[in-house]
Amino acid sequence: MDILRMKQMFRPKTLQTLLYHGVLIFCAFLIVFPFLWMLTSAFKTQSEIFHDIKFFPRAFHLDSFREVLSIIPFDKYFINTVKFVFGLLFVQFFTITFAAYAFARFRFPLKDLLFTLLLLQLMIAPQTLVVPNYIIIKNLKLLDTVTAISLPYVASAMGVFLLRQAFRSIPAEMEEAAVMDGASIEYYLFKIAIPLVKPSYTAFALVSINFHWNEFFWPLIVTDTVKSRVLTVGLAMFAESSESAAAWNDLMAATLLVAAPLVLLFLVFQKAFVESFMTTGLKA
Amino acid sequence: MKRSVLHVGLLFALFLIGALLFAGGAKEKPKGPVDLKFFFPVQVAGPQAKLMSEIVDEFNKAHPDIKVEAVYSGNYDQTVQKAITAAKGGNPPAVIVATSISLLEFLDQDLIEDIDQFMVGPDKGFTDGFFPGFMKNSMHKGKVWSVPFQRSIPALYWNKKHFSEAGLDPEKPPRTWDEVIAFSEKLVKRNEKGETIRWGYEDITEDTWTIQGLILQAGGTYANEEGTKAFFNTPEAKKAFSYWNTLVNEKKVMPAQRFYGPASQDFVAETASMMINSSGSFTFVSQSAKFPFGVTTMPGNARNAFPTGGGNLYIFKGLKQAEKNAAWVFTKWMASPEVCARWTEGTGYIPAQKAAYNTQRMKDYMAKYPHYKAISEQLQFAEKEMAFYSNSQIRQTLKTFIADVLLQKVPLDQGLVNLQKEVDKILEPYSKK
Amino acid sequence: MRKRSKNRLRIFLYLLPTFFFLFFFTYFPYLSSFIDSFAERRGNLISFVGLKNYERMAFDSVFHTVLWNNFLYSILTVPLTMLFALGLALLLNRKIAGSAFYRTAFFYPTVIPMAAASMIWLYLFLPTYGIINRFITLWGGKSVEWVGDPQYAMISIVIVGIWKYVGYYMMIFLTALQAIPKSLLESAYLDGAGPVRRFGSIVLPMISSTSFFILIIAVINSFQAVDQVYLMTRGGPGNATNLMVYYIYQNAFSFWNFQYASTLTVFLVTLLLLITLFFFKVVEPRVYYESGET
Repeated sequence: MDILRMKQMFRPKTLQTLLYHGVLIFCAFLIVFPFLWMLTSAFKTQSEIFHDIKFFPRAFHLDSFREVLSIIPFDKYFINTVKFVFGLLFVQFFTITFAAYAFARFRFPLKDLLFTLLLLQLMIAPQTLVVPNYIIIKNLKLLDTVTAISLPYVASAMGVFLLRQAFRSIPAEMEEAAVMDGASIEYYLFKIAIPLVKPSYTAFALVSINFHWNEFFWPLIVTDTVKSRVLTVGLAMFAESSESAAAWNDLMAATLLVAAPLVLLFLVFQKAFVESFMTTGLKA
Repeated sequence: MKRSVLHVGLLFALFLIGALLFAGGAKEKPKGPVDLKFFFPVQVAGPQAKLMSEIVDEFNKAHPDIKVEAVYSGNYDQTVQKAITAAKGGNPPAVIVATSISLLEFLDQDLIEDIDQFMVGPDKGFTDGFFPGFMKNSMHKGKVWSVPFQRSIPALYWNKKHFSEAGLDPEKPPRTWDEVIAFSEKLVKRNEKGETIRWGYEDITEDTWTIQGLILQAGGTYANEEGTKAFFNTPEAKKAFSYWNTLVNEKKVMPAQRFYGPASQDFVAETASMMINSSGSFTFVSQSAKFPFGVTTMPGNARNAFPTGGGNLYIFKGLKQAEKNAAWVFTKWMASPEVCARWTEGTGYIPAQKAAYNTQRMKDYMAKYPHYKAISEQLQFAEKEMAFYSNSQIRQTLKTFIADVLLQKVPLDQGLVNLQKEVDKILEPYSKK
Repeated sequence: MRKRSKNRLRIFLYLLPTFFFLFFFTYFPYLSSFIDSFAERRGNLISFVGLKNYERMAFDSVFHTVLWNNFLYSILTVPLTMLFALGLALLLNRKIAGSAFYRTAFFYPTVIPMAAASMIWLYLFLPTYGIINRFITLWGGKSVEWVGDPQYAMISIVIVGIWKYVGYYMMIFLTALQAIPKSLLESAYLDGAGPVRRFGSIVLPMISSTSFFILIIAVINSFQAVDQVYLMTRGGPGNATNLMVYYIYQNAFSFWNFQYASTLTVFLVTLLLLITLFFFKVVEPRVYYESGET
């Protein structure tokens, strides 16, 4: 019995599989370890951080979380982030739907040029334009508001592109039939077309949420106070005080709190997440 | 047909409403107390942010007509950045704590109120109660522009346990540069491969503060009184830089790159036996170190001198009269002996207000930490901290130069010539005036 | 006729919001930077100075360092990330137990904010009690000042960049790999083509459009990297890790020279546009597309 199993194990095929898993596990370890080390360090005491190299803390202390929550107005940052991310998503829903539909279904002069101009946006990230955009926000008297963070993202080339593809996949006859029945194009768009391409919306929503939740540099520039700071900026503020530089357990606890919402969302909706990134990634 | 146009219209109305809602439209009009925004930094290790909000809460309770919102804004550099950004955006903070050397930068951009205008009536002579050494950086062209708040000087921290182990007298810290080198060589620990596992000495090479002390001690100076000319390519400055170079590259007893936080960490983790750090790091070190240690002023050279440091309170322009008055009430309160003493107790900063030393709290504190008295007695040697127009940019240039030299990317002599040239170029618009 | 004119209004309204915001937050900023780049601030006075800022840029040694750093960062991150991503995708492109787990493990950094990633790695990179140095010394190596030594500082931010994006690119590669018809590979196998031949003559051409796409976003992203620079090294030591966007930021918000920062912005945006043009005019025609539509 044992010999049989041994034989099986050393069959070339099995050996190959083992090697396979070996390599994969090694890579997975490299990529996952930083997160796990952050996770366990958040529960350590300061002296453990300085003097131990054990992976698990001696006991799961919650002190660092208490400390962090007492220093960082985490709830406010969280609310600001949610406002920014979901408020933006709401507005983007309208901007991309209309533009995408126009590009998918209508013919108009300069269409190709306009589309190219739109796609160029993919090449220029908001952090590159911090200086002029900061001046614009300043002139609009919107500094230190959640709106200011959102404005540069309202037009989304990626979203328009994605939905244009989706709307194109719907047979044109459906629209014609609907219009023949006396429905307006908007009625058709909202009652028939959008429900048909729901997966594309989900994909866009998840990518948009992820992207904006993680945004850091632009919000850093336009926010000044707790009133508008988002989580990532709050984390940086906390880290910048050399106060926390000495307390890595606190800093890791803060990092965990900032990263956790999306990581949890990701773990729960893994499949949807991965698929969204694949579709948007491929087509952007 | 008409209906569809209506649809478009309706949808856009919806869109606009959404956008407006999203904009958080409602701008509440402040009624009742005067709202003040107060930006403060946290530069050194210690639980300062919490203490600050306690103090501000107390102020708000004691002054029902004023409501101060304390905004933690990163370290000094970021606080200055944030304050200038906000002010230029037309939404200035009322009061900020910033380095005393940010003064010229604020003046250059016309951002702050002078303090003289408030020192009338009962507040006449308000700043007379401060140590003159700490007032030096507040003055410009005969006017007072800031109120000293959390002041500090560079201090030497040494690990007495390591001193004993290395056969040094634990009560005798190095007092000269030569002693620093000699002691460090005894204190440094290397493994069998020759790698350093414990530094003999650490200095803040990632900032431009403690190097000023070294330049002063070598008998030099770094800036003219107006802050329009810099003197880096001088024999004295060269002595200071080569002292660091010796410690780092020749004797290999000091790491090439350290900032305040990491240096304190190394010191309390016992991977460094001595360090130069802000006197404001004292609270963190005393709470975290599990060994006896001592604190004193910087070791000297040709002379005994060091720059002052730390933060002052500034009142920003662009406030309404009521806000301006409230800002002064708050500033006065923050600089009062009682609050100063409390802040010292929590942070280790040096009170700039003489009367603070007469408070019971301060007396208790000094009884508990006798070295503090010694440091305070040294304050006569405190000099003006380096301040230029375009201070941030010059400091950045200087930092780059220090890194290049200590990491041996550029030879010292060559580097000094370049440094002087670059700094002259930055100051050109101001030195002509 | 009527329908047309009505639709014209409709098209206009449909496109308006997107192009309104596109114009005001993408194109107009570029233009206004361009205008600002010809000015200078003295105190609170702003005056026209012609090409002075461009002249300064041409002789600004820090700018040269920054530009070089950015090329170095791109040259280090882009190929390595793509290679690792493709490698991982090839490993996962077969039926094996636990592939869902591996996919999650490789992909999750995509949802971690760069700000958080920077903190995590800063902690791993600590000089004396950082876990990486502890590992290195445990195995007899020499401990490294990761963010304190100019060479390693660049490597540090490169590592973070790779770690953050490798899973995302892997997932895109994987999609492309799974779209390759099995019959194609089987017939090649029956024709006696070894794994290397099969990879070179079938797999590689079939994923070339995907690779092209990843290459563009990776290059473009690498020229706009800033989060980890801000949070981990502040461009230092010296200027060893100062990258374009950070240098722009420094000039604007530390040195308060918006005009020079605008000049640098114009330079960077133009560079990005040129890179894009280069890829689409020079590289893309050489890319093999499996089907007509892209």
